[in-house]
Amino acid sequence: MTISKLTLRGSARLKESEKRRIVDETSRKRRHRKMMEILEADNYHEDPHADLVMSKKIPKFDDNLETRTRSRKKEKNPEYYQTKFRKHILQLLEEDRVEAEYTGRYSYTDMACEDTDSPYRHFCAVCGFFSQYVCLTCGMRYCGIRCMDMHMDTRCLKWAA
Amino acid sequence: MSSPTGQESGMFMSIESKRLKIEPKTYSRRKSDKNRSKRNSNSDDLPSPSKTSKSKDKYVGPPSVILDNGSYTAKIGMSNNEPKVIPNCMMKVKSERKRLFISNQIEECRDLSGLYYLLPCEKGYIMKWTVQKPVWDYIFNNVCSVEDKPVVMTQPLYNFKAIQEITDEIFFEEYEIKSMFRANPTDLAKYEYTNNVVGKQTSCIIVDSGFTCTTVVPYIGGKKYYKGIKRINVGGKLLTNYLKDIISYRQLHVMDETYVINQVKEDTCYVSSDFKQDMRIAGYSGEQNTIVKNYVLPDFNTIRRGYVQQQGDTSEIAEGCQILRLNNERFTVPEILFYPSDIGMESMGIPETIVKCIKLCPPKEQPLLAKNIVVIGGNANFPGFKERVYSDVRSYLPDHWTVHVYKPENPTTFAWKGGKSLSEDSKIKSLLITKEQYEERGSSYTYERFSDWVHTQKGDDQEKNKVSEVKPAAESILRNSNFTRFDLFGKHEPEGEEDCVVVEESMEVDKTVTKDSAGGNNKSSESVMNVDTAKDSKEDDAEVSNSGRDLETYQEEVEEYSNNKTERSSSKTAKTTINARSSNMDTYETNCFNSYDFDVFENTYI
Ligand SMILES: [Zn+2]
Ligand SMILES: [Zn+2]
Repeated sequence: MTISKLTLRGSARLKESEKRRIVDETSRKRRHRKMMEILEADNYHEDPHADLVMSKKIPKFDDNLETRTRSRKKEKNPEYYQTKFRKHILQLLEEDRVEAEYTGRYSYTDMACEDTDSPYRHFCAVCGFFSQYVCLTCGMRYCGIRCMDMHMDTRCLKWAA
Repeated sequence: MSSPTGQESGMFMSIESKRLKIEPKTYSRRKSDKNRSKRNSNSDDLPSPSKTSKSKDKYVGPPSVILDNGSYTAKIGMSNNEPKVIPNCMMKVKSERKRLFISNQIEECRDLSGLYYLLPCEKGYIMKWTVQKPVWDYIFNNVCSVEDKPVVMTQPLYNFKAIQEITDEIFFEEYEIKSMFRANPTDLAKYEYTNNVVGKQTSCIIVDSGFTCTTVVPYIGGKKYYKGIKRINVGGKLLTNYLKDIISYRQLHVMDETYVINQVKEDTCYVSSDFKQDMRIAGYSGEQNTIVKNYVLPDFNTIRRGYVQQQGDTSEIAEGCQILRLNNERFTVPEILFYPSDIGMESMGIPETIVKCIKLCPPKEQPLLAKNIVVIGGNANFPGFKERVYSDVRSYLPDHWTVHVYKPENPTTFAWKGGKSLSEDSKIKSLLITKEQYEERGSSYTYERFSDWVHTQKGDDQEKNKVSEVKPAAESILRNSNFTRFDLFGKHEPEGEEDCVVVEESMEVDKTVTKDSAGGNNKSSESVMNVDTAKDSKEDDAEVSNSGRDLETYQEEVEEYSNNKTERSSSKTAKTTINARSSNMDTYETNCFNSYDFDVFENTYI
């Protein structure tokens, strides 16, 4: 892939893209799913101090506040509740769905929003402005030559194995 | 920090205990009476009992703890005070090893770069108790105490039983609170809106756009109309992550800087009122581009918080400072709330969902809902958010409908304010579950009371819709006069008479009416009339019982109700009897809080 971009204008470029492996629908969907995972993550990076044992001590309470009379023995550490809880979100959602089905009530799944009826708007994956062109290889969009080059050099799926 | 002094709380306590004494029937069977009489030492100034039975009276009980437990921030404070908005999470930073920052402790941290979040919620539900519990411990030890206090807190829609059980255990058993009431944030917002904004009961739609998602919840007859509730999986977290992604791709790698980029989002993003036009302007270079802004990133040395660089003052920026150039990012990011399809999600956006939600509601209510759209949650703070919701919803709906969008002064704390107002309403007494009640009946009781969705029936509202789509009032007008549909509804001004509004769907009704009246009054139209009168008289009943509601009977009924619980769930007859009874004590304003009540207006559970 070292052919100079300048030499690849017009039909020459088209030919070049035909030669490329066209990224199939499954990979495009996988790309979108991966993107959504990143967008829904609490953090992008790993816990910087995952290996360190953090001080689990709850900070001392403010002296300005009235002192608690709560008996010490009633205090349970967070792990106690977590162990007792022992559930995964998908498990809870499934339980909710099953119970709802059984009793005929509404459930979490009923809140799901329908697909949109409005037409999709298309944006350049590089600069974010409106785009008219689709990358023949991977289906992402760009708005012009400059952004196309940038796309080819960076996020184009042709690089994906 | 302003928690009540010991003296004050002592006084309130005695008022409360005296009042409890007024209801001997209710409490005589409780085991903890000893406790109460002990506190009953100084009790001179009592509100007269007659006063407390009036529903509009301000309830002078002990101040409550109001907690709107969001998945990113907690809105916390005593009901006699202002709320604090603090992080509902723990954080780690690169610069300080071995230290966990809990909630607003993060203010003590100097270098916030690479901040790592430990959030308690997944999809809005508390999943990580190892995070939530320490945060609550911190809040109640340092921000306001809960012990022996009534607590009003929020929980998400369909909050799962397992989560409610742990919540009960923590609050009742470990924190030893006095009593608790849980409701959805939208319930509290609806309460605040109808009671303190419009000042009358009305159907409305609450749009809560928060950190995890955006929920659109219609309220009809004071209750959630479950059929119409929709959830869009776009929230503040996704917007921040998206901004992070495009900045990282276009300018500077900031993927690890969620905290900072969230501030960039809050400081620079807005909702466009004319998307195409703004795209055009952002495409200009030079002075014509009025959208582009430079943002000075914090270096955590001289600059702790980033800021938008004012035009022309390039000079004073310290060397080594990093600057972000924000152009179309400023409005394409919040745009995802309106068009999730912009990032390839298939879901509807907020305006489309609101319209969809309206269409799912009974036709009679639809114009009213369009007139009462309330936007709350962090994303409602984006400049232009409300205006855009208005103009988009407006464009979808018939011209003669009035569309009104209300944005509270502070959309973030509006639900909290609703909780505060509710805690000062005398009705709160019947909503709270006391520690004693919890100890007697356990977590399944709180689950029943705080989870109104448990009592919904999917089939019911379809049947009911058939009934309510036949609109008796409108029919009689049509039958008795020669009005055309256009006369009646075409020039309809919803401002004046909102009770008699009709929409396209009523076309069918009209036909049946004409047919009916042509062939004389046949059975079907008569039965419709019957439904109508029956409904009216029921409404009257409800009103009468509202004004002179007797809390003692109420409490007894609640007790009886819960005794019948098992029987109820197994037999439908029992269910109806009990609920027909409880419908009497039902009050319009708190409908959405009573999980066990019976909808007198719609003749079904909602
Ligand atoms: Zn471009
Ligand atoms: Zn490509």
